[in-house]
Amino acid sequence: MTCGMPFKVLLVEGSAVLRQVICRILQMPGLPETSCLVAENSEAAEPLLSAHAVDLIILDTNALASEPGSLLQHAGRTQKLPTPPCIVISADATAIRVQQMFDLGATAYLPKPFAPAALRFEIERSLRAAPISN
Amino acid sequence: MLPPSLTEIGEALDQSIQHTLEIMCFAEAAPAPAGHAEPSMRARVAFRSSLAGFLELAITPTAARTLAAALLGLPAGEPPCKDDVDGTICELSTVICGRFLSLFDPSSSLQLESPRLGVHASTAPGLRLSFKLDDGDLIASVHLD
Repeated sequence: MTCGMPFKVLLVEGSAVLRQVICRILQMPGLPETSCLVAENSEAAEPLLSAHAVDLIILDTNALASEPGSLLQHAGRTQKLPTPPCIVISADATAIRVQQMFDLGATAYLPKPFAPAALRFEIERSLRAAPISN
Repeated sequence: MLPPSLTEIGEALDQSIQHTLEIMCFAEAAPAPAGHAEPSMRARVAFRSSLAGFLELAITPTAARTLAAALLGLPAGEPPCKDDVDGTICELSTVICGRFLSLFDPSSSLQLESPRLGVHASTAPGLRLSFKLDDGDLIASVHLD
């Protein structure tokens, strides 16, 4: 992020209700200023990743339209190094899925249900450590 | 490995429902005796892990609207739109199903289908739990293949 520019967040979430909830969390007081790109699924997210440098990806595994790794691999190809952090949220808390997503490049994994404060904490932690995108 | 008992499945489902409603909607679900009239809103999520089948949630529309308003953080007196109520029930069904199965068998791989709204009540045998919410009823049932 350059001085005065908001962090750019890519939210990949299939549920319209959760998109509203997460966008509201991103606007919580005390968090760095963000602008949010929104995609309903990973297919819709790929062109956004190609067109924009993002500081953080928030990805719901229910929004994965293809192989779980393809979106994160796409981020690896299109984003400047180091690739942006990725918070994965999921209704699936099995050890296999958690390990799979970390292996693919997730930097945090929040099983649902999560308290808004838990996601807020991960967003703040991720943005404080995010590479400069602009 | 022995197949799970209905008691074990029921305990995991009960825990998942109460925890999910509390965390996502700040709502308390009190176990209630069976026999209430069947609530009219219904969502179904099919799953496959070490168990396969589907989870069904049936909820009274008033309670569904209250849960949606709480999830979205709407100010008092501002009702959620129908799409948001439907979306809330679908999301709750998915989360409850995922948590229930993750609790029940954390070492299995899990597949959850997209939730379906407006399905007819299943007549298949299954486990059924009833809850009383602040302003309505919720019935959760699990049907195994």
